[in-house]
Amino acid sequence: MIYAENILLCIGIPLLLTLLFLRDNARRFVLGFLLGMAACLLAAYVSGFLDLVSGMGQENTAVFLSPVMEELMKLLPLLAFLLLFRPEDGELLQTAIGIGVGFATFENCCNMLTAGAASLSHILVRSLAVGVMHVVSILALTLGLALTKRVRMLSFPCVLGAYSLSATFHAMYNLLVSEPGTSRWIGYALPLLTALLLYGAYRRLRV
Amino acid sequence: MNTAVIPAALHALAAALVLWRSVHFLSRNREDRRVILWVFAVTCLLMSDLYWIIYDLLQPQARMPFAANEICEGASFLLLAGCLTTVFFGRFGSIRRVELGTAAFAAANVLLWIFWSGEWLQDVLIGLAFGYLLCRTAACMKLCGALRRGEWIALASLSGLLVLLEAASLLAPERAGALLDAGSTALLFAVLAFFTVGSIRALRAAGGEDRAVSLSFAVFVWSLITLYSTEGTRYLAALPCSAAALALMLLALEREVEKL
Repeated sequence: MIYAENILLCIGIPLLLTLLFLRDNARRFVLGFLLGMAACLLAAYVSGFLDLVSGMGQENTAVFLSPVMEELMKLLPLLAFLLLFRPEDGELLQTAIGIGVGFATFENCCNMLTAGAASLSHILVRSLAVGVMHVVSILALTLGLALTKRVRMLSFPCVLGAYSLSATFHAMYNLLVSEPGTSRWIGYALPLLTALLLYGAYRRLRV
Repeated sequence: MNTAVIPAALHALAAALVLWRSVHFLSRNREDRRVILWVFAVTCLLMSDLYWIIYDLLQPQARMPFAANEICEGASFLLLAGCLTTVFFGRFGSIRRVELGTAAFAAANVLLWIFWSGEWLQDVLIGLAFGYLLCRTAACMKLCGALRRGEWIALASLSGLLVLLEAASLLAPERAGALLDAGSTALLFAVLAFFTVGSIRALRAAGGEDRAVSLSFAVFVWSLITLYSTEGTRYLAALPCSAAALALMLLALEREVEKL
């Protein structure tokens, strides 16, 4: 058993203090990072609750329900930032990347404390697959939001569409890696390949 | 491997081709809201298809629990409804009778899905989004005069008969149930063929771009009703119809957006 709240405090307090001395994009990124870590903890609470009430079992909850919850927890701070502060596309992207990286970092820290950090292959999988996947899913979400915002179309269907794409991408990754064999390796490669594709789309759309 | 994987993969391939052409369409009309909503909706449909195929390949024996792709499917329905509403923006008048009738038909369908599958949460969530798309489609068909008065009466009667047949097939004993089920399937495909022919005619006719759009959306919506109400080979037969509907919708939308 690990004490995830204590880990959050340990990593979060120094970052919280740095907010006093940072400005503009750097501050937005660090704030996003903190929100991402908090979102990860909340998503773990909610997924644990869903595991109990749905009766689907721990593995099925992790494969099918956790992506829905985790992406929702990442969406909420981003949506609040978007609706309250009406940021430029670049500012939105900075915050989103912060949330994604914060989420991935906190999840990886908790995982390493649970499973240990002795195996290099396990660490590489965590960083290159799961870590990148969290960043890619929130990037997809942000590109969708930025595109709809640009044409003044930020409505419920568009937000739901962007959210559902990121949640389905995440769920696809979880599903692929849940089975041993070729599908697992495809799953591990999926985030990196998608990151390259998104980089192309990002350059094209110039968000 | 489940036999439905191959038709589903072909459906996903068709959706991918439609998306590819839609992205080119978007590059010509970057600021057009109708096109953005359409591209967004097709992307959601494609992602949902891909997730379903992966699930079917990895766990062919188990029925899929509630998963993210259902949210994607619901979102695609809302985005399509948004696209249709944008096409007919500013033209919505008093069409309450059509919308009420369509909402009742959608509610009856959702109740039948719940009765058949027992998955009330998924069915209610998808049903709400699907019902909205169904109501928007019917309203737009009414607004552009896509159907004549006699055709509306026939469609309403056949829809009512369909609900009765499907409800009776769920309650009837095995042999009678199979007969009633076959009857409802014949009805579903007959209406689907009617909408498809109407949509192709509207696409070929000069003018009347909005008619072509509303009828092609009707083909898609009815193909979904057919998909959700059938299983086995009948389900597999409805999949290509849904893929064809996507192509018809794109062609109609291209005509509508790029009309001079």
